[in-house]
Amino acid sequence: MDTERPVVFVVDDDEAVCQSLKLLIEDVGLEVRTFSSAPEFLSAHDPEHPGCLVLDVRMAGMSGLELQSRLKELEIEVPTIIITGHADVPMAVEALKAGAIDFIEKPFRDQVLLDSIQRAIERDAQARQVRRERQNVQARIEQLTPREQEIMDLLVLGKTNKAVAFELGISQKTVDFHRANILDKVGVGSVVELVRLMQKARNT
Amino acid sequence: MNAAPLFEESGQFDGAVVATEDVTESIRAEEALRRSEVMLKSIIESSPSAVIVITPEATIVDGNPRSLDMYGAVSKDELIGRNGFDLIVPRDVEQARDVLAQALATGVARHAELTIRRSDGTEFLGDFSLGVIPNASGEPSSLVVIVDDITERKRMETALRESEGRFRGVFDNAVLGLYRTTPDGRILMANPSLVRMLGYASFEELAEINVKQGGHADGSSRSQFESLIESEGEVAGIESAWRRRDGTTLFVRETARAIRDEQGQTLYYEGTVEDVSERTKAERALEESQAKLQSVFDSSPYAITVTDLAGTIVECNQAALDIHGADSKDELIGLSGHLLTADASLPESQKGMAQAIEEGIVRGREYTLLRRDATAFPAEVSASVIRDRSGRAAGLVVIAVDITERKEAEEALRRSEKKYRELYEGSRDAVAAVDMNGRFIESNAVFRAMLGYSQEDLVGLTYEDVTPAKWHAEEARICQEQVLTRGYSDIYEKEYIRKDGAVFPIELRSYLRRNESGHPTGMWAFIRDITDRQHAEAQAQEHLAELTRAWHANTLGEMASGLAHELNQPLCAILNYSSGCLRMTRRTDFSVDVVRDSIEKIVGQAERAADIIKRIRSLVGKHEPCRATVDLNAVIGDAIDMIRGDAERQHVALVAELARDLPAIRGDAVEIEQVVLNLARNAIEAMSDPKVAERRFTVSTSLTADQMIEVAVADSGCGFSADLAEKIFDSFFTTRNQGLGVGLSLSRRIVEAHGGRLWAESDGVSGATFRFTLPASGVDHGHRAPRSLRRG
Repeated sequence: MDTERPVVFVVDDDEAVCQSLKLLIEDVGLEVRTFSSAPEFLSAHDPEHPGCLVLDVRMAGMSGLELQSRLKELEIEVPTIIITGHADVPMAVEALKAGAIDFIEKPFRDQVLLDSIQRAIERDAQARQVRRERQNVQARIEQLTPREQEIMDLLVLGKTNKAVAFELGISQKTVDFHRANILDKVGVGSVVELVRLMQKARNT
Repeated sequence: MNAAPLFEESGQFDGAVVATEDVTESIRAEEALRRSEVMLKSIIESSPSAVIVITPEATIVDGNPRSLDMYGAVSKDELIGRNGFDLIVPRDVEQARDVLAQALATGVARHAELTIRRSDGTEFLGDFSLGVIPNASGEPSSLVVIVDDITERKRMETALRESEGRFRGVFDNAVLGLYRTTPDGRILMANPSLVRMLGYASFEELAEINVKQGGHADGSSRSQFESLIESEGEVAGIESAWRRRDGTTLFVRETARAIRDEQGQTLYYEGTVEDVSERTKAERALEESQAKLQSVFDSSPYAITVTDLAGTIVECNQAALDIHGADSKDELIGLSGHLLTADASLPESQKGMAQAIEEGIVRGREYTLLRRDATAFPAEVSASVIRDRSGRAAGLVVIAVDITERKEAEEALRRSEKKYRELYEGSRDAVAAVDMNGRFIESNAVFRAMLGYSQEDLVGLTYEDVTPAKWHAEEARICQEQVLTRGYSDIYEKEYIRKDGAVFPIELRSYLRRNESGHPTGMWAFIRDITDRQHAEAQAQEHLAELTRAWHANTLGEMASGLAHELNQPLCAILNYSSGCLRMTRRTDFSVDVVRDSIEKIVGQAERAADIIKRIRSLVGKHEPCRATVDLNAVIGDAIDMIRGDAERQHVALVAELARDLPAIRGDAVEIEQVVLNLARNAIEAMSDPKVAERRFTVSTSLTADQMIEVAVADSGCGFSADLAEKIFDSFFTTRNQGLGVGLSLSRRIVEAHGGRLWAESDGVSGATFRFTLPASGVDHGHRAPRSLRRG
């Protein structure tokens, strides 16, 4: 569980824009932290902290797009809303390709930004939930013995106990025995649940 | 009553199905049967032997817990249903089939030894006994297989056999002769030593003679021996002369006893024989050498043992006791040297001994020797032969040194050497060493890969051979002034020539190599290929130049776009603050202070916006163009130079068709250049769509009939429809992704300010042409050739 409240990280090299965004966003009850440059944000950012990023594209030094690619390199997943006073289509495309979830042109209506922030925070929470579950499942799967993993892989492929027994050259009863252990260790009630869990762990 | 016990899989009694009948007798019988069955079951369940039930086809139908352990199975299911032969290793399956066949034929098979492969792949040797369980009609219905793991037993048997063999070896190789003879002179037994002593090839050959008739050198000896042993029951240490096969005499000392049956009848004589002649000589020789060597022997740090020719230890020094972990000489003397040699080294050591006897000496052999507690240690062993006075080999002096530490040191050295070699070979930098003549004597793989030479290629080459001549003098100076004087050089840059002739930049630092006495023997160097770095440096410089160009070429459109961004910042802040204030004031509990503070900030931001607008005005509106004589062709040439990079990147062909002998104009060269640049950038941008196959940018100048100079900028893009031809000159109209569309309207204003016109033409298919005219200067009609394009 993330016990910390989500934070809206605002990165804009314009002090007035930063402060006005802080006022606006804090008004809806969210915590805001402002940064006047991309490097400042990078050095202070704790990826464990839930929240979202409101990022100006055109900044002196490292641009918003550069910050996005840097975050990607560092494998930091934070939902990013790009704001720009310099709307241009290729830049928007690039930002969205780099994983930005929204692209808003300055100046903008308050509600447009606030809605977008709300979506970003929800998305972050979901992503964190998924990551946690994935880690959880991963941890449980790592408890399985190599034989159990082998059997699990076959079961998840939809093979019957009989087919698994045949493939591994062991008796069906042994497969039953292992299967019970696998379900028990992974903490699911059926192979169907196991498959769903594995998909979650692998595909998201 | 029919009571069928219901067992769970684990074998625990779970309940019973009971059918009642009034048959007291049968109940009692069945009760007895059930008891015996339960008992049997518990015996089987707890049996230390594996008990398995199989069908006549060898399919496993049941197994007790021990059988699971033995096989390494988790549950019975891993065994039940499998074919028993599958558990046997392939090489034993044939035998296993025979055993099963025998059991089926005779009802039983005992103690077959078969190897089983466990579930984890390990193997063990099992003792198999099979018994047939017949059905009611007497046919075999199933078989009980009892298996014991006899791996350990077999191992002990083998060890025992080896040990027995070793003692037998000692016995056979003993110097003492051993025999059994009958009172009537037949030889029942003689050991190899005695056979050898008497000069016979084999015991069989010796057994053909009769001791009474031909055994002794003189006729009286045997009868003396007989009368003595018959009266005393034994003889001890009598000396007699025996006859060898070749007729020579052998002096022996023998000890014997008579073996009698219960009636006191002598069955045979059993005795030991010592070759006195040989021993006396050997002893004498030994005494002599011992006398000389005694002090060396005693104080030698080397373990010295003296053995006879058969390898039996006859003497040893303190170091030998130490090395073998013996407390006193008694523990070693009389022992065969073989017993102090590890099995693995025995063949080698025996060969070594034979060689020593043959050649007189062997040196520096490495064997594994044993201590008294059977622990092993590596030793370096030398052996030399001891000869008697007549020069015949009498024994061996064996000198052994425990080389455990040396081995460890060697191993440590090897590891360390390997580590450094790996560092050297694995270094990311090239490393090479040269002798005093500069010839390569060593290099690592990185170095060879860098230069493209193989190790063989480098033989005979000097570092100057792979360095362009222009560096030779400089490098010689570095060697002289740095390497030879203080032992190493600064890091310096030079070039190398690859084998394929390519020259590339490197940086290196050289060190002086010295031998142990400190005398210089050559140099070695760490070298790094800096092609990439130099390339990056060159690129950075190019980039800087480009930035400078871009700065110069900063078009009006881009400027306006930058200003718009600047203007957006305060607008954004104003909007945010005012939205925030609105939100707050919708509630009843807002803080007036915060709202007032925000409104103050709004005022501040509005002033900031006004300032920006003022700056734009000062840049565009209030600019007073300077009027001077301008060569339009030269201005266009400059503009083309500026966009050349863009054009190349976009694969646009630049064509300039500039009229010669154009009159000059009056105007602001910078402003006119901005117009040309703006049109040129628009043209290149218009062709950026990948669908545009041919990208051609043409700029041409001409003099019109009404003494106007016309500049036409044409692209081969998609063009635009006729109704847009005017609209595109509106402020803020743009089809472009960059800029805010003020470029064309500003351009038109500039042209019109110069007394000319700017318009656009397009058929909407094959590109667009922008034309502008400027009045020719009436003052200057100089005949100047148009400036040629520098790189056109």
